[in-house]
This record gives sequence, structure tokens and C-alpha cells, in this order.
Amino acid sequence: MNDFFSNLDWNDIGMAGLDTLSMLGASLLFTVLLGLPLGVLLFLTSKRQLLEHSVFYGVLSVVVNVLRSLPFIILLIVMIPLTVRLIGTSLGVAGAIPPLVVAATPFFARLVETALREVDRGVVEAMQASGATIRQIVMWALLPEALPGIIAAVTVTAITLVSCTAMSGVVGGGGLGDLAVRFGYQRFRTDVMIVTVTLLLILVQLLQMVGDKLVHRFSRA
Amino acid sequence: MIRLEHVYKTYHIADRQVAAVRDVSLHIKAGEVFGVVGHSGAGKSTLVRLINRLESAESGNVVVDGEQVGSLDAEGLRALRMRVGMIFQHFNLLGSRTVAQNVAIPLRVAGWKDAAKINARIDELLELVGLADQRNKYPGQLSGGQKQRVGIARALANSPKVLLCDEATSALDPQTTRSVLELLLQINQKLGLTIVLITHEMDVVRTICDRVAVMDSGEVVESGEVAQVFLHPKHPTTRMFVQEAEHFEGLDEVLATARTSGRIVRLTFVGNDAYAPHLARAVRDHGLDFTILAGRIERIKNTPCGQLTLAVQGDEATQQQALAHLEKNGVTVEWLQ
Repeated sequence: MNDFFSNLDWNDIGMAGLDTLSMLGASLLFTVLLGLPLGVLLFLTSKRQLLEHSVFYGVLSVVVNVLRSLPFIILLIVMIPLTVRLIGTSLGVAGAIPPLVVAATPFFARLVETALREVDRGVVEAMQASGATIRQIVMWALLPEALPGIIAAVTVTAITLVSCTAMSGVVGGGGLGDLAVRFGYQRFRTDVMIVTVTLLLILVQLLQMVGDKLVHRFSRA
Repeated sequence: MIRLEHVYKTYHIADRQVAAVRDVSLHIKAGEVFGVVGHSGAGKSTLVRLINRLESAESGNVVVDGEQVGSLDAEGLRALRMRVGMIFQHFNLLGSRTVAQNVAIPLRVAGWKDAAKINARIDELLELVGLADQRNKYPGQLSGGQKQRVGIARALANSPKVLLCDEATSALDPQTTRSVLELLLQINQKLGLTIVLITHEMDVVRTICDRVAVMDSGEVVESGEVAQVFLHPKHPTTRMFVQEAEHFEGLDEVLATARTSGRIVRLTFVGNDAYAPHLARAVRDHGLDFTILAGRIERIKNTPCGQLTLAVQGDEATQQQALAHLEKNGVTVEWLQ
């Protein structure tokens, strides 16, 4: 057993782990910052909502769907010129972050829209009846009431991002997934494969557990 | 306080048009409790929402507290809504916020910033609705009646002039309904608040309303003082509502089973006349002979009233004399047959 894993370079694995974590952290942060307002906008402009606007919603919806239907590996390559413009390079961990954000934001926005749709219409009506502005309704009623749903959406998005980071090796992004592909698969290093996949599994499991805990913490049925 | 003039509202669902409110004109006076009663789908929910423009009227005028609701801009509309409180059938509280935070929302909407002032106002409101000890609970931990009390506290936060109640007691059991209605009545008297209450329960109307409008498929088919509408319902829909509330049979059922001769007359006593021994005098002084076929004796809001359906026998002259005497003493006499 010890022999089987004796050839592992734990340093490499540690670096890869950090790369995965930093790609995940940065892309998740930007995804939430961009996706949350986008999700709110999708919700508000949809049918029978406060800012109902079928044309605006239609266009936004198509853009979101197009981005969501693009395979991440393609997006990664298509985005290279834009990524260079944004952060000066398309390589490494930094180069992987913009495509990750662009891939995850529409996905997260849709989940936010769905979470907001779960909020009782009556609550919105009560806010309107009290004279609240749309901004106040969003900030004081919709988002707090949808918080458990939004936390669940963040969890699902984070896990999706973890699997996307595996493809970032294409642009030299590094990370555990990349290590698994380059060593575990291409060089037949089963030991590397087992360790990296196990670490990814633990990461996903941890994300799900923390997410579920938070959802529970903020739910008041 | 509230005036509706020839108001129409139609919904366009697919390619069908559904008239929710048709040519409704109403005048609700300051300080009164006004009931709107109707079956579900009669348009009463839409009607009440026209008052604070949660629904916009298609044509006609809605005037609230001297303002044309239809021509208000966004700012004016918000200012109006702060002066018109509203409570709902399903309470519509924020489940993620405590009782105090729920009540604070309209204050924050109105621009209150000072936390100490907000807290003092919350205490005052919770005291008023009898929930002073539930301040930090979440709505999920409260009973239905308590939730509606939070709803009332929230609606009253900005000291509105009007309170709209949308089926406010329909989700509550009879006992809780009674206590919530008592609270509403107490608020109406203490704060001089105008209350517009929509319901499908005639019992609610009888308990607290001064005047009532009956709606059927978008139209107001009958309106007036509650006692008047209760004791002399004219429209078939109103009759049905009154019968449901009274658990009393319609005249046809009474007559179908009555094995008696004589003419049928209905006597209605309202107010203090209900306590005077008029009928006893009619018997003693005029020798009236009769059988009681149906009767009800009750209170409508604070007015005692009674209604008896009699089959009167004996000679015509005696009948006429006796009944003329009753009429002279404020009893309403109607010949039914």
C-alpha cells in the first residue's frame, strides 16, 4: 500500500489543491456578485412581476440560455481574447477565472430567479400595500425570504464550478482536476488519479454539507 | 373618505374578458366599518385593491381621502399607501423576520431611521394588538390569530386613516375570528379608523359592520345599513347570504311545512322597540290571534332586533287594528300572503 503511493509528489498535489481552491473562491465570488443582480432582474421583468417587460426578459433569457448551452471547454477557448483584455493574460489560475465566471453566472442567475419565484406573492403584495419601493421590496422582502433558496443555489453553483476547474488545464489553469487529467489519465498514474479524485470528492462533500447547514440555519418555516 | 364612481375593471385572460368589477359606485364614510360581501369570484378582492391601486381601475373614479387615486404618480401613490393600511387572509408576513422586524417595515418604508423611536412605536403597536410578549418570535412560531394581530400592527404602523381587510378572518377558526373582529372594532372606535372589510361570511358583517354592500359577478346588487340589509334583504344573492348566516329557512320552506290557516305577516323590531311588549299588547288590547311560524331574535352590531313570521287569524278588522297599532309603535309590518 505504501509502495503504491510512494511515488506521489505531495508538493504538486498540495499546489494543485490550492489552485483549485483559489479558482473556486474567486470565480464563485464574482459569479455571486454578477449573478445575483442578474437573477433579480430576470425575476422582476418576468411575467406578472413588478417590472414585467416581455421584450427585455426575452432578450435576457436568450442570452442566458446561449451561455448556458455552450460547453465549458469551448467557452474557455472562445473567451481567450476577452480574458486577455480583462486581466492581461489568458493563462494560469487567473486566466481560468473569467471563463468560469461567464459559465457559472447565467446558471446561478437562473437558480436565483427560481428561488425568488418561490417567495409568496402575498408578501410582495403586502410590501407594495405599505408603500415600499421596488428596491425596498427586493432588499427587505424578496432576498431575505429567498435566502435559503439562494444559499442552496450558491452550493450547487460552487459544485458545478469545481467540475469546471478540471478543464482549466487547457489554458494551464492547474488544479486537482488538471492533475488528474495530465498525470492520472495521460501518464497512467493511477495513484495520482485516486488521490486527486478523492480530494475532489471530499471538497464537493464539504461544500454540500456547509451549504445544507446554512440553508437549515436560515430557514424559518 | 372613499368614493368609487362608476368603476370598471376587466381582466384579459387569454382571449377571454372577465369583468371583475362592473359599474360600481360606493361612498364609504370616515370612521365607519364598511363590509363588502360576496361569493368568491364576485369581484370583492379586486374592489378592495382598487382603493390602494394594487389594481388600477379601467374607467371611473376612485377617490380616497380627497385624492384621485388614478392620477397619482409613483411618489404620490406610495404616500397614499402609507395612509391606507391593509391586512390579508394569509397574513403575508415575512417568515424570515421577527414580529418586531415585520412591524418595523412600514416605518422604515416611511423613512424612520432612529432605532429607539422605531422600537418605541413597535412596543406601542404590539401592546395595542395584545402581542407585547411575542416581540422576538418568528411568524412560524405563532398561531393564526396571533399572525393576523401582527398583520394588524404592521398595517397600523404609520397611523393610517383607512384599514383594508381582505378576508382577514377567513383562515381563522370561529373563536379566533371573534377575537380578531373585536380587536378591529376596538381599533375602529379608539382610533376613529375607517375600515373596509371584505368577506364571504355574513356573520362577520353582522358582528362589526355599520353598512354593507353585497356583490355578485362584479356588481353591487344591494347596499345599505347592515340591519336594513339583514332584515329586509331584496336581492336573491343577499337573501342567500342572510339565510346562511341565520341558519334560518327561507319563507318558502316555512310555508311548505306550516299546517295553518290565516294570512302570513312578518313583523320586524329594531332597536329598543325589540324590548317593548308590543305584541303582547296587540293580543291583550285588540284580541289578535296568531301562530308563530318562524322567528329570530339577535343583535346586529350593537342593535338588538327581532323578526317574527306569523299566521294571523280572526276577523279582518281586528287584524288591521292590531297591526296598525304595531306599526305606530315602530314595528315594520309586511304582508307576505
